[in-house]
Amino acid sequence: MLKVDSIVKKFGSKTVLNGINLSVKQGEVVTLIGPSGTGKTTLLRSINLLERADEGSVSIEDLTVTNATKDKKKILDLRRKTAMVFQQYNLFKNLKVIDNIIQPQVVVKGVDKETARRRAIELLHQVGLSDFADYYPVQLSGGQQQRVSIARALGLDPEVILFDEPTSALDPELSKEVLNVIKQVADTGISIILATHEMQFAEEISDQVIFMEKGNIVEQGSPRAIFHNAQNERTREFLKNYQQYVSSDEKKVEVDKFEEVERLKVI
Amino acid sequence: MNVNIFTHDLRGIWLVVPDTLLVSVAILALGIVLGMILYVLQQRNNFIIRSICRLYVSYFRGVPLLIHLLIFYYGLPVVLQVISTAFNLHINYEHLNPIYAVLLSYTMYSSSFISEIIRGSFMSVGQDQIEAATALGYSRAQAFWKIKLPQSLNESVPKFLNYYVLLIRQLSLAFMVSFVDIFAKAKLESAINYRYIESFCAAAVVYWILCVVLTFIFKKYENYLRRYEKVVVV
Repeated sequence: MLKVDSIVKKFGSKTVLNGINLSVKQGEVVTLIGPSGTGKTTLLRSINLLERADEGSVSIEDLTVTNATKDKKKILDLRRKTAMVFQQYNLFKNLKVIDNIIQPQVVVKGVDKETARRRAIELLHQVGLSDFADYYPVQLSGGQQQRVSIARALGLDPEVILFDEPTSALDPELSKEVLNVIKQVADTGISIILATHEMQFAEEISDQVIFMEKGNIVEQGSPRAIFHNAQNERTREFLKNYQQYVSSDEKKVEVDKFEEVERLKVI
Repeated sequence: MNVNIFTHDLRGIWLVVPDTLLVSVAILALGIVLGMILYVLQQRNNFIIRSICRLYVSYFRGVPLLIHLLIFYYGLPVVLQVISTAFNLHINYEHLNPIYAVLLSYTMYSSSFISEIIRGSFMSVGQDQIEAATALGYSRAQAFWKIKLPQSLNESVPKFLNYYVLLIRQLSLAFMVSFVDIFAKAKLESAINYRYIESFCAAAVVYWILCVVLTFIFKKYENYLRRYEKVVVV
């Protein structure tokens, strides 16, 4: 459904994306992992055409935009098949939560205001923020803002939602509430491309995991293949920290059990 | 200090308050229009147009308002005379109402400051806001009208109102060209009986009350406009 064909993006003399190919099927969840500054965000922004690639093309269904496309209408049409969720939420700060979800529907899709309002109320309910409709973004926690921004994206019924490190600015507790919402979105059958450092979440949710480094795709495959049976040396090295963390977590549980038993003995 | 004379002067001065407020509104409105034009021209990529704008701004900011006022007051009839004879228009340039010189000089002077207010308020709109709109599929025009303009207006309107309060006080210079505002009226009142202290005290009281009241109202309005910036603990 979505196809990225050998995208190259340079910032000055620095090559940020070095010929990336990617294809996403309807309803598929694709996760981009890899070190910071490796081009994950730029890839997402290129798909959304916030950055125009120097070479290559992006297609969604039968619509293709290449680096040479100048037709503004075509660019806008492709962009409207996607929606972006930013690391820093980027809610419209002068609009109330509910209007943040209403306005894009009215402006982009031409929905009448009442229909948009009803939809917004539904979406707020879906992300668990029904009570916050009349608040301003600044009055919400980061996690709440991010959930509003997901609702805002959903209101546009995009073919694919691009998540750019949606939980990187949040503490673990707030991350969890956002991740739960993303999981919910994935279950509805919308295609997702997600850049993240939440390895455990990536493993749970993905259909396809892509490990990127220095503008290249190093390895891609099912979560099982990447996280437990990586072929590439560099992938294994990058994921080592995560696996250590997971296994030490398991050990910790054992220690806790041991202590529990010891304590019971004392009693 | 004679209280009777003071209250008499006070009453006299109150009469010119509406005029003063009205002329200041006119200057502000014209200044915003001209400032907007200036801002748009400065955004152009044309070197000559930008240089002319920069020259204009540096001249009007660099010369005292009083000098502008006097140049327009004495210069306007001369210019009108030339135009009148050239096009056979029969303009009565010899008995020109001083209000024209006041409006012109104050508007042009103000526009150089107001264009900067406008520039600043557009710049204050975060790139993240425009990017979010673009990413969601807003066209450039939609992002401007729906996001950039409303946010920058909330930023600039309080500054315009602030400038208005400044204008009311600056208008006191216009007595030099026999335009009667609060200060000029006080001077006229004192000329009748040579009781300077009473009439200037009365003028001071009027200015003060006006500024306090207007600032209070404008502050309330500003708080309303910026309500979304306040962090309220939920």
